[in-house]
Amino acid sequence: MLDVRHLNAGYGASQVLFDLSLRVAAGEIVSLIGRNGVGKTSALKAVMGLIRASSGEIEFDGQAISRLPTHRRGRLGIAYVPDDRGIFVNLSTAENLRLPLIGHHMRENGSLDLVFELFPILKERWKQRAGTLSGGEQQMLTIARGLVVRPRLLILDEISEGLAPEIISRCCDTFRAIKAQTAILLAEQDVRAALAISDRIYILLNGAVAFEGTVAEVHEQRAIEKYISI
Amino acid sequence: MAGETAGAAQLREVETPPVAEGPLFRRPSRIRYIVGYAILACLFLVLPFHTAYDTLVEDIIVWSLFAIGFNLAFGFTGMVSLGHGVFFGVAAFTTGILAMFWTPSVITIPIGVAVGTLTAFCVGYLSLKRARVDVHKALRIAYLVLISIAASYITMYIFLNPLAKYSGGDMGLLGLVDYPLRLTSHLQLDLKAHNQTYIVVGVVALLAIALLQRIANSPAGLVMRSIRENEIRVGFLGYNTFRFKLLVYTLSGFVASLAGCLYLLRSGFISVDCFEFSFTSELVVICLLGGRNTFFGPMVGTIIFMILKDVISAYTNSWALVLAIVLILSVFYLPAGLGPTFASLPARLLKACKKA
Amino acid sequence: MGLLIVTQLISGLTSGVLLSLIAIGIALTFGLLKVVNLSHAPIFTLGAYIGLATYRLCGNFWIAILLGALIAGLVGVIFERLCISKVYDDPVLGFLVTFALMMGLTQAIRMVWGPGNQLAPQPAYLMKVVYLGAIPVSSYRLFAILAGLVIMGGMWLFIAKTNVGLIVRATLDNKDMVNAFGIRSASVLTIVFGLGSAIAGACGVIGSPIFGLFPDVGGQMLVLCFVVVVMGGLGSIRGAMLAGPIIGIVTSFTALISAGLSNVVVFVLMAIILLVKPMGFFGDKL
Repeated sequence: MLDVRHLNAGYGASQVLFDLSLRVAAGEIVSLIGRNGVGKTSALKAVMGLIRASSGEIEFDGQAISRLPTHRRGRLGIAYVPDDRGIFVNLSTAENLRLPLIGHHMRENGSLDLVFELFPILKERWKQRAGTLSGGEQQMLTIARGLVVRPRLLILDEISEGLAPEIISRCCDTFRAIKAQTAILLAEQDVRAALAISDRIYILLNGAVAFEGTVAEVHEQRAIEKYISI
Repeated sequence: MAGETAGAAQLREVETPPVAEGPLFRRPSRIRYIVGYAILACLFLVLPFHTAYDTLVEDIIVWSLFAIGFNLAFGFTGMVSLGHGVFFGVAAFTTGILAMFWTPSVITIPIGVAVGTLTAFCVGYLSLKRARVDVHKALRIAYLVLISIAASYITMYIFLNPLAKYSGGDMGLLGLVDYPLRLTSHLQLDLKAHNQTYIVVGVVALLAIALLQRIANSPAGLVMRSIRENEIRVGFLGYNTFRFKLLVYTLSGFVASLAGCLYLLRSGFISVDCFEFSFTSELVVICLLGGRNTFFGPMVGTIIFMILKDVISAYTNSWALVLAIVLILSVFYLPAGLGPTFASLPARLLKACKKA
Repeated sequence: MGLLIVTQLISGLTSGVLLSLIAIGIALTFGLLKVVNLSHAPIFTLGAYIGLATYRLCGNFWIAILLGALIAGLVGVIFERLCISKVYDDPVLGFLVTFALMMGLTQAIRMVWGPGNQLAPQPAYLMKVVYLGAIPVSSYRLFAILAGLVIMGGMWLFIAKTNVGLIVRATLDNKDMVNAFGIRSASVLTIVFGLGSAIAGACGVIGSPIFGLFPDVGGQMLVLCFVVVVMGGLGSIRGAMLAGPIIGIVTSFTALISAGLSNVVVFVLMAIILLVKPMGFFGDKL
């Protein structure tokens, strides 16, 4: 579904990603893990087109998207949940959830039910200005925003931060339930949660892939000790 | 594909890039300094007496100084202010008014410069106090612009209304040339004697530019440029950026005041036109044309601008339109200005000679 | 005495409402683009002149307003597409570009229509004297206030209630995420720019009998608009709506003493606000 090949990208003159390659197949949950500052967020942003890649190819569903602007990539069915939550603070909860639907030219047909089932508190905060929500609620809102468009690929950046463990486990259940229709690529600090939910893992080091494999292989080869533990 | 990828093997080759070579503070060789300033001295002190365009040359000298000082605040430190015309005018008016109505003495010049600098300090303080680093950069610039525009309007009003009797109101300060400025009981500076005034203007401008260059090439100059790029980080390094910016702003205001007095000496006249923000915006264009990031860029810009203005105004009334178009084009196609082009000229000429 | 107060009040409200409308355009542009759009001023002037030309041609004031708005909006869009979109994230360059556009357009207007004052369109059926109680008031001013409020209401409806308005508000908050969800934020900016310019153009026509019609009328407006925007908060629409009438009224009352003084008072006010509450009344973003 998503094929990233030899991606070099950075911020202005400072390069952050060095020859990065990764793949997400349909029906998979893939995690990027690694220490702080290793380039996980940058990799996700590069896939969305929020940072410019100097070289490399990105293909989504067979279509080359590395030259497409961000809004075109979004419309192809990729939803992005950023690490800084990125909610629209002056819009209400309802409006926050309406905007993606407008962007994807979709009618709300049941996706809100999924959202309410997962995060019932959002129903209570429906008319409230998103900026007044608590941190955890905002985190829920931004995940909901990604889910509501039923994307083909859902990109999640460090969503475990700020969420109560019980909610995280509910999210994980939901992800497992939808992964047949929605492939998931996530970046995570919480290695255990990532291992618990993923099919395959990429461990990043210094902006490049240091290890790639299934969860079983990670344990076999003690990759965590090698590349992440101090 | 499982296990260690080729990427990991490559990792050992992915090292941090080497540290940039070269000295941190570029100091041109002594020879270049001496030659450069000798040339400048000829241009400032000798040229005005041997050309029919002496007013143009003198204006270029005064405005070069003005622009270079302005650029320290605008180009180097990133403070966009449209109020320097205020300091220019306040200094010139103070000197002129004091000379005409109090005592015609050379002492009025330093007083004028001091008053102008003080005004710059106040305006700078007001503009910068609230432009703290936690506020978005665009907002900081907006504050500066707005307060400087406000200052220009207020000053214009003050000099047009309450002080009209002294400032000459709409018409400007007339008749100063009849008041030679006394230095001692025997020496005096006659504003009608061009050989005297040109020498004074040339020498002062030269000294001031040399001083400013010393500042710009010092660590302080580096701090200025760093503030423009990322003020928060500079704060982390331990600098009080507010005080620093205020210092730079006041310094550029001092230069503006100096330029104002020099202009007064050269022309014997000053009017409230200099308080309009379009006056200072010409400086902005000059700095942009000549290069914001180089020290002598504004001088290049001044030369081009003044000559262009003279030539074009002779043919058409719409100088402002041409200016606007030039400005837009230079923003898009010459973001670094023309200064660097000229600066690299000697090197490129040398290379061309070597090839031949 | 009462006559004087009411007259000045109405006069202040008139200019205030129009100021608000233009200020909203500037506030929006600043919120979205982080650029203080100086070229808004000559677009106001352009609208006024186009209105005049149209009125001379066809004698219909409403068409004059419409055409003034349309052409102003068009020019705004052209400016945005050609120049301003290139300098979004650089405030210094953005300022320079809008400044150049302002100078260029003002000069172009001066070249086409001449530097002098023109007689603004004065449709006779609007230029009556109406009585509020015992006090005679110019009906044109009442019309201007009404028209201004109608436009403001329309704008508010657009921003608060429509989908496009929702997109605009979202873009104000987080441009990147709007893009991420499939909406081209650059188009949003063009729309806002165009709309703001069109409104400025309409205000130009409506305001021309009040403010006069000369090439620099926009420039003088602009400075007052800045004060309105600062007072209301850069980027806040509600702030601009509130601050406009306040500034208008203050100006009209101090103008009784002297024209220059009213400018000074306004600026001193702005300086105080910048020192005390730099975010203005409502600007709490950024």
